[in-house]
Amino acid sequence: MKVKVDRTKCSGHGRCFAVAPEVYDSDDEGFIVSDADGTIEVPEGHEDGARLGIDSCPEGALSAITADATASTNEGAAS
Amino acid sequence: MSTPPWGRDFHADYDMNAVELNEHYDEVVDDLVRTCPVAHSPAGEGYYILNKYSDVQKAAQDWETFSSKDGFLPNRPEGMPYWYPVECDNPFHDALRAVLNPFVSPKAIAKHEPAIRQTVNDLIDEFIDAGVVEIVSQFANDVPGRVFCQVVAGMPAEDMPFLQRSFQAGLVGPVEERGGAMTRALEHIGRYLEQRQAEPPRGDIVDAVLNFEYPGYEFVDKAGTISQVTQGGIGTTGFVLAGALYHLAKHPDDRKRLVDDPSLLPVAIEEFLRFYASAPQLGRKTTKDIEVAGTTIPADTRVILSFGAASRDPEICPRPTEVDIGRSPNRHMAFGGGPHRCLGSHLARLNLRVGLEEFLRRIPDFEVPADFVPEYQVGVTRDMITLPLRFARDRAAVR
Repeated sequence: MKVKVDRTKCSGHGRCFAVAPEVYDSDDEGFIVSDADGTIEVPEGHEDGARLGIDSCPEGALSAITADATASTNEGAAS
Repeated sequence: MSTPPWGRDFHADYDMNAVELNEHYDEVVDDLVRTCPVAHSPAGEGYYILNKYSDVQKAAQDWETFSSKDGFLPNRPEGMPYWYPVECDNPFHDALRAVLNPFVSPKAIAKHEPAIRQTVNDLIDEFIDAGVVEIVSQFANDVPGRVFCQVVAGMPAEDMPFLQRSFQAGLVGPVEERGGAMTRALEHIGRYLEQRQAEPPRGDIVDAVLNFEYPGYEFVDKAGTISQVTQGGIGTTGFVLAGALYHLAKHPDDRKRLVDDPSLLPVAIEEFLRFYASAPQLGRKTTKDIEVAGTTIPADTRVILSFGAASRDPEICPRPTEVDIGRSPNRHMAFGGGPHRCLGSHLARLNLRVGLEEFLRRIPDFEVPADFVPEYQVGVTRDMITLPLRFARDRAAVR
């Protein structure tokens, strides 16, 4: 599983690395760290934490890329 | 529509300072978020109010359409100076935030935790032998005030009583004395900045602001920035701290859970932040005609983003009228959104966690007087005026 980051939306709320520090990290200003292609590789076994991070983002800046390559964000989800 | 029980039609005659809002805030915004995505106020220049989470989120992110250049206040008093970085747009906004953010990021503030714990315990020492405390003036506003001024901005300890008294009077004192008290505090901070300018640098947030150069950003603006970030955290964090202690006084089961297992506090604090929305309504101004939920808002129009209503939107938050200290995920907007997301949000969370950890450890059992009914005041911010608590002195732990 990978997580896609929309850098135009990340505003440094820091919820992702607060709820799932094993998946997400922050830079010196408090914004999310991602690979150069704007994605984050989720370590095996930490998929639930990755999803909690996605569902916790107030900006909807994160979305899941699963094996079938479909992306899903938390937009409109009453999770 | 017919006049609702709270005596004012907030759909077409909204007023962010209405007395009805003080008493009925939760009911008013619960009605708006369910039945009125875009409310209107005819007051003064007139303004619109966005209430749905998805609309508030989109507007907060779209800073080019919903500009902060003309400030966050509807019917802004003439000549009132703008506060940076909250009342400006890019590129200046991001340039100033890039200078400030590194001092208040989650990693940067972690080093302050021992000093914050000391500050919290010093405050608790002042009232623990009495068995009674008025939380707002003796604890809740003093924690963020002292932490920012002394721990983060390096102001001398002997200035704290004056600053605390001034901020307290400026925030919840008699209305006619608030302006003067706040001005005295801000002048004091201006003198501190002058003194710091003459001293060797310490490499802290004050030096970063003093050294930041941008066309048109003068010394008076620098003092305004430091004043804004000082003041921005006091009443707001204070209200969440008071709200949390009020909830825990009224709900012994929740209190026992957190006393027995303080590791549950970070999740519970997100719920206190959501429920006790302390900066619930901040404005922008449109730069072009824009349609929101079927309403066309003309260019150059004031629009209030109701972060308080958005955090109670049933579309993102099941059972939004209940305090659920285990709620997860919790996608609230207590700290706003978009590029203007509260600068001090991470410091606020740290203050709340350490403040509640130490309070619950030393005073695990407390109550409000049976006849106490909390009174609130709502504007751009929301405050609880007082919160008296009583506790058994023999149960109170030593530090």
